[in-house]
Parts: sequence; structure tokens; C-alpha cells
Amino acid sequence: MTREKGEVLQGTLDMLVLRALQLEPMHGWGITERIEQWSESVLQLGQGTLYPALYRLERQGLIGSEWRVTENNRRARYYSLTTKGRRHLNEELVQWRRMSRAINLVLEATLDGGRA
Amino acid sequence: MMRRVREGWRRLRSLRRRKELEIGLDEEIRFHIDSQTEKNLRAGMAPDEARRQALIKFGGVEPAKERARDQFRWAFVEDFLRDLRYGGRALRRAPGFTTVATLTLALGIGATTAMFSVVNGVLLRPLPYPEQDRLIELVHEAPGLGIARLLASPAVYFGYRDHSQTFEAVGLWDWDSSPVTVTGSGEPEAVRSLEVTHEVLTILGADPLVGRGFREADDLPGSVPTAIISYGYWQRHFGGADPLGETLVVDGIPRQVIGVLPQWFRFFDYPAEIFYPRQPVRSGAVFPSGDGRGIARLKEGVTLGEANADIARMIPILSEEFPGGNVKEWRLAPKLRWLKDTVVGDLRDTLWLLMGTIGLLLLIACANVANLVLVRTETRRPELAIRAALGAGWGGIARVVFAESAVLGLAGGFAGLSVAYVSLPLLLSLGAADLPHVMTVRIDPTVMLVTLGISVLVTLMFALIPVFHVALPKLQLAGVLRGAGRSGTEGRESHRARHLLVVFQVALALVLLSGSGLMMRTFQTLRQVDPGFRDPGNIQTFQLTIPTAAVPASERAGVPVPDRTVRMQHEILDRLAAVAAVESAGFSSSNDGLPLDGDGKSRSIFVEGRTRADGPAALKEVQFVSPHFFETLRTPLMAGRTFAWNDVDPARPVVLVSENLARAEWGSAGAALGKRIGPRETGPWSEVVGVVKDVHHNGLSQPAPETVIFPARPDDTASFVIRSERVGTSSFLEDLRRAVWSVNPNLSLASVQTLGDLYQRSMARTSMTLQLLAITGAMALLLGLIGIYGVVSYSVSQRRREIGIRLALGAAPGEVRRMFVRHALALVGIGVAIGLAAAVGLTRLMESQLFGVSPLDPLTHLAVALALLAAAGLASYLSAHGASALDPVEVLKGV
Repeated sequence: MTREKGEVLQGTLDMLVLRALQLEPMHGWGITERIEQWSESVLQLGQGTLYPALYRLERQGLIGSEWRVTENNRRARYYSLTTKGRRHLNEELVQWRRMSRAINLVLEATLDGGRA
Repeated sequence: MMRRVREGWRRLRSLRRRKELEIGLDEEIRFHIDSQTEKNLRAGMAPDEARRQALIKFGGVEPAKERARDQFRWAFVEDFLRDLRYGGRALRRAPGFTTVATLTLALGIGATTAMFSVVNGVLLRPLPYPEQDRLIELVHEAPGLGIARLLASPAVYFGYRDHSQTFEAVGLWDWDSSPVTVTGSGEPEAVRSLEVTHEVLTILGADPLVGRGFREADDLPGSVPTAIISYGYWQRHFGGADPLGETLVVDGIPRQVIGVLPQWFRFFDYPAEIFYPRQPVRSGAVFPSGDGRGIARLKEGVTLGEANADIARMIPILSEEFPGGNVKEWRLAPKLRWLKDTVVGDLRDTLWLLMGTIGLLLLIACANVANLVLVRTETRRPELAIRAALGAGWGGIARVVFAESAVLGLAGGFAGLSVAYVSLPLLLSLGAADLPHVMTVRIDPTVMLVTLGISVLVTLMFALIPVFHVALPKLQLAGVLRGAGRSGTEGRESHRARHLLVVFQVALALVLLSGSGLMMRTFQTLRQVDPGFRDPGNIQTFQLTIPTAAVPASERAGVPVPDRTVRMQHEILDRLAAVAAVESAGFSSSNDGLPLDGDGKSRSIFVEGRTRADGPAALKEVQFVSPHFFETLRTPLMAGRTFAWNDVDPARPVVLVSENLARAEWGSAGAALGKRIGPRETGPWSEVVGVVKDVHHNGLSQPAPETVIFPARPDDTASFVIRSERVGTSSFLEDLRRAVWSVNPNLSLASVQTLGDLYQRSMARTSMTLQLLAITGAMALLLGLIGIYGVVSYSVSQRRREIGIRLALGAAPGEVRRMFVRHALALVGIGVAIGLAAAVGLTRLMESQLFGVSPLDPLTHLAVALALLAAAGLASYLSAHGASALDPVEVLKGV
């Protein structure tokens, strides 16, 4: 598979999926759409990775799932965050913010140093 | 830990829900693509293009599915299989260790499996009759007469049939007249037969394959004589052709064949081929008395206790209905037994004992393998330490060690199953004379399941020891690594564990050897019991039935038919005695008159001049014999004379008594002569004319019964005994047959065997137990010695440097060797001491198998202990040989 411009960083997929589910339960397709929309179409989920990720997260007990009927009267599996998933997401977010701030600091510091 | 359990549980659940998930996944992906397609449509694409783009965007449905599936796979199984593969590879690199360990396990598991299949087949599985858990044998006890087991009678049959509230059906059967002679078509044939009331076959669920079963009408005296034949006899005699309406002349009576029994049916262990109605007679029936065997099917849900209570209620009723007996004096009480218990008898104790011994053997084998695995783990310490250093947790290391053991256990289990398949026929041939043939012994799914369970259990036992062993001193791994390859520093725990195992093995081996020792003593004592006859191997025996109807009508005139029977038996005896090389010949009336045939008759016998006030007359064994019977057996005559023909025909009121009876009644053999005894207080009296030495009737381990011997009486069947040097040759049997046929060509020999066969059979139980215990004991000894040898030789290999230094400093090789032997013997000594204590406790369990020797017999235990010490000493001496043969220069150079 060729590397797409918007491929999600390794390890961040889980966090993105959990984040997408933070507001309301959604089906797989909805999650794709939500992430695409929020990221202004920069992030496009490789579908080959979304469903395995969903099954993995469910196995780990971070999300739950149930079959519901959509507005268009179709059966679809809706995923929702469990309490544990919610806690996990919060931890991940804190971690991520610290990391990304640190990385930004490093990147900017390097640029400054380059000018000097 | 908890987290891991939860994870495992979730995976297990997902395994169960896998199908469901698979379907869900399909639907979910379809929904996704459909939604994308719709979006594309809304964006203005043509339908085909919209779908194509959706699929492209999704990027391969199958790979996505495959990767999703991976998430709900049972990864643990795969991990375990990988560990097993690794374990298998590691074992292949150590073929010596693998072979020894697998063989040891195979031996232990195989022996256990074979023995368990016998226990399962005989003790655990039900009798092969429908709803067998409701079948009982009608037995009473009469302690007033000293009878522990009083069989049924016509009175019991009629009484319980009419009055019981707990029995669904009652039947009466016997084999009194077996074998019957079938004549008519072709050669006369002696066939084993059974007389049954019409309920018996129904109670056993033997619905005829062809024709009908017996009905009540068949049981009425005077009805048309009928017979039902076994499947085997149908095939043999009629070649499977329609037998209904055919007639068999059975003991001179033409009987119509009305049915054929199904192929599966066996009447317990009795290979009866012709069944015919017993037709018991109500009038004149006496209660209590013993004549025939009773069988009954209990109503649904009735317990043995309730049935016993029902019988206790009926005893007074029967006593009134069938007068003539004396319930009070006999102290008659019900003692019903499950049919299964009747069939198994006291074999239960023997089989569980043997199962227990083999279980001990398995433990020894297990200890041996544990020891081997310990040593191996020890030598792998450097490798394991490297693994630990490279980041494997102790859990990971334990898994490596465990996986290897699991492979060993698995291999041992499979090899054990093969061992069981091979050894089961041998086992069955050892027990052939003693195991009930009605129960089938085979390796069935239950046995296999138990084998699997045993293998797993055994694996856990020998695998966990080294695993804990690795776990406990994990902190020392670093130290090991530093010293790896240089010296054999090993943990104290390892020493201790291996020494404990050896002590354990020796103790168990001692217990098993003590058991075999005691059985050996029992066997010896039994061989020394004087059976009351000499050289039984030279005595040919057979049964001959002269159907009353076989006596030609022309000869009946003027002579009562029964007397003709005795006269014909006399004639046959004369012809038999004239056969070349026959020393002497005699017979005993009826089919149960031989010593040690496990059957017989007993009667109340009164001594003239003693009254009922002296206590109820005790039952004595009774026998009816021809002249020369005791001479043929070579039973010594203690006083007086034996019978002559003029005592028999016509019968005179004379009897012989056994020596023990004479002593009990009159003080000595000589004092018995001229005294008179009889069947009732009032006579008629018979004069004691001779006293013969005691003859064992019920097995050598049972005391010889006090016996009264009457002159031969008219009886269709007689058991002949013929003494000759030619016994055992087929030409001799031919000569005997011709002699019989020269008197009447319609007769046929049955139960042809030597008295030696009967003698051997009476010791079958003891010799089976002895042989099995001896084999088990020998294997235990072997395994124990291997264990000792292994410990010593490993110890030598670990202490090479020390030995080298000692030798270099001038220690004599013998001294070094003695050091190891001393050490080994100290261990063995502890094992022997523990084993002796255990043996004292455990051999008590085999008391019922012993004869003439106490389970605590000090001589046996001491001899076994000394023998074990000596053997262990030898094993360690040989093993320590390696130590003294070391070249100190080589050893020290190699440091």
C-alpha cells in the first residue's frame, strides 16, 4: 500500500477513535466521517486499520458496541465509550498534549538555534 | 495477574462468539461501503462510479476483515503451541534424557491405564443387562446354623412372588442337572444347561432374538417340554437355520425349541447353552431351605434397605405358608445383594489393592522423571540465566521449562497408551481364571479420558517441581551467569529436592516390595497346605450324565430305574479302571462332588444320642462316593475302612467321616468307628465305618469342612476321577471315551479337566495378585535403583573438581568411592525407614489377600529392607565407580 499524505501516525489511531466517540455513540462509517471532517479532510483513516482497531479496543474493554437502526432504517453497529475508555482517553489526551508541546518546543528551539 | 485472567476470559468469550462476530463484521463493512457510495452519489457521481470509488477508498475488504479477525483469535493457543514446538526442539537436542524420561512415564502411565481399564471394566461399569441397578440376588443369612449365605428355594420363589411389595419380578434358577446330554441328531453332546423359571430371562432383559420367551404356562408341571437356546448353540447346532419347532432330545426328554437368545446375552459367567423351565413345585416346599438361586428386579426407586425390610415382613408369612422349617432356630434374616456385587464378589478388594499398588508405581516413575528434569534444569541454568539477562521474566523462563515437561508428558501419555494396549492382554491372561467374563474389559473412551487426566496430573507433578525450583532462586541467576561454564555451583534447594525425591522413591519401592514379599509368603503357605489328596496333576476328572431315559426300556423291567443308573456308573468305572496304565478310578455322585470345585452340598447331621437341646445340628458337608474314590485321590485313611461295592449297591447304612469331624464329635479318629449319625434326631442312622483325612473343598485358604461321606447314590450326573501316569495325553482321553462308549454310546464327557487344574484354579486369585505385585515391585525396584544411580552419578559429575583435588592430595580411589556410597546409603536408609513405617500402615489394607502370614510379618519386612539396601548399595557403588576412575591431572587441567 502506498503511503498516503493523511495516514494517521502510528499509535494515535486509538486515541482518535476514542476522541471521535467522546460525544456520542457512532458506527464505523460515522467515525471515519467525523475524523475526516474534524481534521478538515487531512486525516483519512485507512479502512484496513479502522475495524481491526475497533475490535481491539472492544476487546480491551475501552469501547462497547451494540446493533442499532440508523435514520435510514439500516442495521449498523454503534460503538460507544465505556467508563474505562473515557478515563483512558483523558489520560491519553494529557499525555499527548505534554508530548506535542514538548515536540513543538524542540522543533522551535532547533530553528532558533539554526538562526543563531 | 487479574488483568491477564480477564483478558483470557474475554478471548475465550470471543472464541465462543466468533461466528456471530464474523457475520457482524461482514454486515458492518457492507454498511460502511454503502454509506460511502451514497455520499458519492450525493456528490453527483454515477452509481457504478460511486460504488467503485467507495471500494477504492476502503482499500481492500478482505485484508481489512482478516486484520479485524486477528483481534478475536485465540492467541493463547498459538502461544502455547509455539512453546510446545520450542520444547520439542529442545528435547530433540537431548535424546538420552528424552528417551529415559519418556520410557519411564510410558511405563507408569501404561501400567496405570491397563490396570484402570480392568477396574473400570469389572468394578465401575454396570452389568450388561438393562436397568441392572435394580437387579438383586435373593440371599438370606442363618447365623443360627452358621450360614452366611443361604440361597433361595421354591418356597422363597413362590412366597416372595405372591407377597412382596418391593419386587417387580422374582425368578428361580439352578444348574443342578448341567451338563445335559443332547441326543437325537448325530453324536451325543454334553451341553451346559440352566433351569429357569419363566421370569429369569425377562428379569435379565434377554428378549429372544427369534421366537418367544418362557411363559407362566411353561412352568406348570405337565406342560409341553420346551427349551430356549443360546445364539452360539443355534449357530453351531442348527447352522443358523430356523430352529423354531425343532426338537432337541435333552436328557432323554424331547424338548421343543421355542426361542433363541440374542448374541450379547451371557448368563453371568456361566456358559449355558440350553435353558429350560425349572417348574418348581409349590406343595411340599419348605421354608427356610436352600435349593436354587433367586434373582429379582426391584420396583423403581426401591432401595436395598426397603427390600430387606419387605423380606423381614414376609418371613413369618412364608414360615406359616411353607411349614417344616425353623426360622427361629436358624435365626433367618434377609441379606439381599445387588447382582453386581454377587458377580464381582470379593474381587473388589483385590482389584483396588492392585490399582493402588500401580498408582504407587506411577508415583515412583513420576519422582524419577522429576529428578531427571531437575538435573536437566540445573545443567541449563547458564542458558536460563542468559535468557533472564536478556529480559525474559521468570514467568517466561518457567514457561520454557514447563513447555518442555508438557511435551514429555504428552509423549509419555501416548507411549503409555501403547504400553497399555500391549500389556492389557497379558494382564487379562493373568487374571483369566478369576475375572468375571460377563464384564468386558477394554480401553474405552472413559479409560482414555482418565489416561489423559493422569498424564496431565503427572506432568503437573514433575513439571512444577523444577518450575518452582527456577522461580525460588531466581535472584541467584546472576551468580550462575558469572560462574557459567566454570564450576558447577548449584543451589542447595536443588540438592535437597533431588534427595527428597530419592528418599520418596525408595520409601514407595519398599512398600511395594513388602507387598510382593507378603504375597510370596502367602503363596508359599498355600502350597504347603495339605489339600487332602496327592499328585492332582495325575488325576483326570470329567462329568458324565446318564439321562434316566437313556436306560433302555427293556432293562427297566423289575429294576427301579435309579438303581440302574448306579449300576451303569459301576460298569463304566470298571471299564475305565481297565484302561491301560490306569492305577485306580472312582466317582462321586452329582456334578459338585470334587474337591476344590467351589461347589458342594451341606446338610444338618445329627449324632445318635444327642438331642436338639444340645443346640441346633450344625451343617456338615456331604458327599456321595463310589469305592476307590479316596484311594484314587490318595487321601489317607485314618481309621477303619472305605466303601466296598456291597455298601453301595444295594445301599447300606454306612458312612465315612472326615478326621476333623471325628475329632470334634468323639475326640479321635478311632473313637468314631461304630458310632451312628443321621439326617434327623430320630435317625435313620448310619454307622461310621471309616475316617479319612480332611479334604479341602472350598479353596486352600478356607479350612477343610467337616464332611460326612455316604455311599454313591442314584444321580444322573457323576464326577469321575481316574489316576494314571498318562493323564494329559490325548490318546488317554480317547481311551477313556471309548471305555465309556463301550457301555453306552449315547454318553458324552463334560468338564474334562485334571484335579491339578482345579488345584491351580483355587489358587488363581493368589497367584494373579502375586504375579502382578511381583511385576510392580520389580519395576519399582528398577526405577528406584535408576534414581539412586542417577543421583550418585550426577553428584560425581558435579564434584569432579573436588574429587580431583582429593585424589591429587593423596586420597585413595576406594575412599572417594566409599564417600559417595556412604552418602547414597544414608539417603536410602532414610527412605527405607520411612518406607517401613508406611508399609506397616499400608500392608494392613491387603490383609484379606493374605493367608498364613501377618501383614506385619517382621521377617518379610526386614528381608525386603535389607535386600533394598543391598541393591541400592550396589547401584551407588557402580555409579561411584566413575569418581574413583577420574584422572586428577585431567580434571584439574580442565578447570
